[in-house]
Amino acid sequence: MNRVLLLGPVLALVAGIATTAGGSVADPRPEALVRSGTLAQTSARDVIAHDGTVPAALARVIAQEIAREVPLPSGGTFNGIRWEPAGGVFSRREIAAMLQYNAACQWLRAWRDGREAAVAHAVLADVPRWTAWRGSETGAVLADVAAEVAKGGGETAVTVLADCDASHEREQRYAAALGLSPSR
Amino acid sequence: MDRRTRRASLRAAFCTAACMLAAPAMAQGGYTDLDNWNLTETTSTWGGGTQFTISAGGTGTAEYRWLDDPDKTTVISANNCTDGTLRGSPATIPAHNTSYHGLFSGAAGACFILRGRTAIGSGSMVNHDGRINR
Repeated sequence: MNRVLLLGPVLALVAGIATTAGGSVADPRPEALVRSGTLAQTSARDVIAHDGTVPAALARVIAQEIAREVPLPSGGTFNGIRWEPAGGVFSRREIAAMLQYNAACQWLRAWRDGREAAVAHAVLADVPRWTAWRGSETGAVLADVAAEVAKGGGETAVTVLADCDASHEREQRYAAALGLSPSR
Repeated sequence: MDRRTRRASLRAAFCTAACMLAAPAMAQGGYTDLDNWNLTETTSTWGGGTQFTISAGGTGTAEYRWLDDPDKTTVISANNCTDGTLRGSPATIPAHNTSYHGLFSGAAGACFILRGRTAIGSGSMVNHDGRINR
């Protein structure tokens, strides 16, 4: 009985994924910039429309599908996100938001560390308009970060980076414990 | 108003404007009301993953309260936007308690989501309003 009840939302979520995972026409820009631009231009309602929840134990499966839409620097992964220990349930929208914030952190670290500098600059400029936080207070903070990055750095970027670094350490430990490759 | 007083007033006005311009733009914060948060015994997130940030002009803490009399004991937590880990400690809020409960202290800009559930065995609690102050 419980399995039947569980199957409905899972199938609905997977169906939502299927409708958004389309192919793309060849684009001369780096893949990361294409994905970032798409996130910045997509209507936020497209994400909300596929709402529904899955148990935390299944969130990783859904995240792997949604992750195809989210740009990462070379060597980046989402393997260290602690879906399972968080427990409870997650909606597709929540999963997308966490992936996007995690990706923003990875690009911020890449910029700080001088990896893929030009792409990192361009992606971080898009980040405030990504679907998860467009027009929200998180978007405002990330807009400050983007403005500071454009000028070489600043107080907000340092603060957010400290949070990202702390998360990165946790993610590396958790991914390793799961036998998965941690993000760079 | 003599010339010296006028000059002092202009200087004060300029300083006020300059200070406002110099204030960090991340000073969002304050409080936000959460209308009709429906909780069950399974942990879920407010607003489908709505993210909050610690404000620059606040106390550097996030605290939560129910606005209308909650009829169940609830457990509310702040979780990290990056990886879902807990920030601070979950607050166990007794039934009928409408006081603020501290969730965590963090630097300005620290991003979090709010997760909550009712006490095990107590059933669900629907259409109750809360407030997050940060």
